[in-house]
Amino acid sequence: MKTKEIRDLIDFISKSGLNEVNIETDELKLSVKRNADVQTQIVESGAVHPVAAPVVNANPYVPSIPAAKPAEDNTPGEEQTVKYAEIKSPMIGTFYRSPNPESDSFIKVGDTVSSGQTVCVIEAMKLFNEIEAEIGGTIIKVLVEDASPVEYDQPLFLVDPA
Amino acid sequence: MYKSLAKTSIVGKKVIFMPSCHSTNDICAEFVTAGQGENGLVIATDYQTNGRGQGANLWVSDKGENLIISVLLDTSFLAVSQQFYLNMVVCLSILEVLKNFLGENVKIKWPNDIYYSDKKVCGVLIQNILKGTSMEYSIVGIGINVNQVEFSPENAASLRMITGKWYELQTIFELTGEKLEKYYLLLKDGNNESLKRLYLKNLLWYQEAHNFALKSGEEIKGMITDVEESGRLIIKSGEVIHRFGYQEIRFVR
Repeated sequence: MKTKEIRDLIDFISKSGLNEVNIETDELKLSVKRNADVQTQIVESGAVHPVAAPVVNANPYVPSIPAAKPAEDNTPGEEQTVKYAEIKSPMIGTFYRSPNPESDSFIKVGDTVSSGQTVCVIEAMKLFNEIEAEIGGTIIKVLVEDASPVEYDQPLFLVDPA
Repeated sequence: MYKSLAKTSIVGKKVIFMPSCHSTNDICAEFVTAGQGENGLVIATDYQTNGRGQGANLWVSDKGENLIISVLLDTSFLAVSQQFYLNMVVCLSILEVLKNFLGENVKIKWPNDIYYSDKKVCGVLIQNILKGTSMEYSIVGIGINVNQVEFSPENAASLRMITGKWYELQTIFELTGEKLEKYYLLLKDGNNESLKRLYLKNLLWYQEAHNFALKSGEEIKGMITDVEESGRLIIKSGEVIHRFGYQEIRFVR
């Protein structure tokens, strides 16, 4: 959201009879309160959500043909595991691709990830663990189905570090 | 509105209050992302528009009547495989707060709900931020039902419903922050075994014969005998030892 839009919004709110307004979009959360203890908080959301609709992984059990396949033209199959890096599970638990059932996946095939970016959540005994990518690159394949159990050190994503 | 804590050295030295927000855990995570996550940071609110329980379970709370906070804790000293000890820390601190007002009839329902008799008084949602293969931060979301007198889930209750008294939220907040810091420091100092002993001692249905439902729907009679380091619940049924993860077992009666 641009500064002008925010300004317009605050103008709008001040002209309205509202005492408190909270607005939330993918890019920001805006909370404006009209009292003496004026509180204006703008929290830029950390995660940048792609505008594109989430890719529906129809049935991950079927040997899947990823929608985006940048390596297809010149890399023979056997070399893929050598060339690509894996993001592995640091723990036993249940693998989730999105922060909660209503949200989009953290990442999908074809997305570029950077080191430190959250790629999935692994839940163990009701403790939710945000797993970060240790390497940057392009997601080639998601190796585990959403909401399924994973073991320690199990590969979760295939990443093309190039 | 909450004041920062006077009697602690880590928890609640910085308190950010939002009249309403979607989820204090999410706001807390954004502070970490922005590089502004300091150990003990508290995000508090009067009303959560999207407070979460497990998965899609919405946690609904009336405005300004309950304690809703998220506390950021540096857990980089803890191995990923030992994170259930943090869960014990959180449960034990809330337990102590609630016992202060409700007496001894307060129990921890595995893994981390706090009950008075058969009523849930507090819910916990812990999110860990991992750096590679090690822990970095934990965001501890705590919701204590304090003054609210009506709940849609029948098994929920507030302090006020149980004692008939009205409570100052700041008082509950101060006590919660102090106890959380106390148990957090015990964990940091490596008192894992005594934390586990205390957790078991205060666990609902520990060493008692009860019925449990398995995922298949089948019911077994058994007794909780232990909790693994991973957090799995160990139930002895006859001569058979079962180990259960969360959502693999339901407490029946």
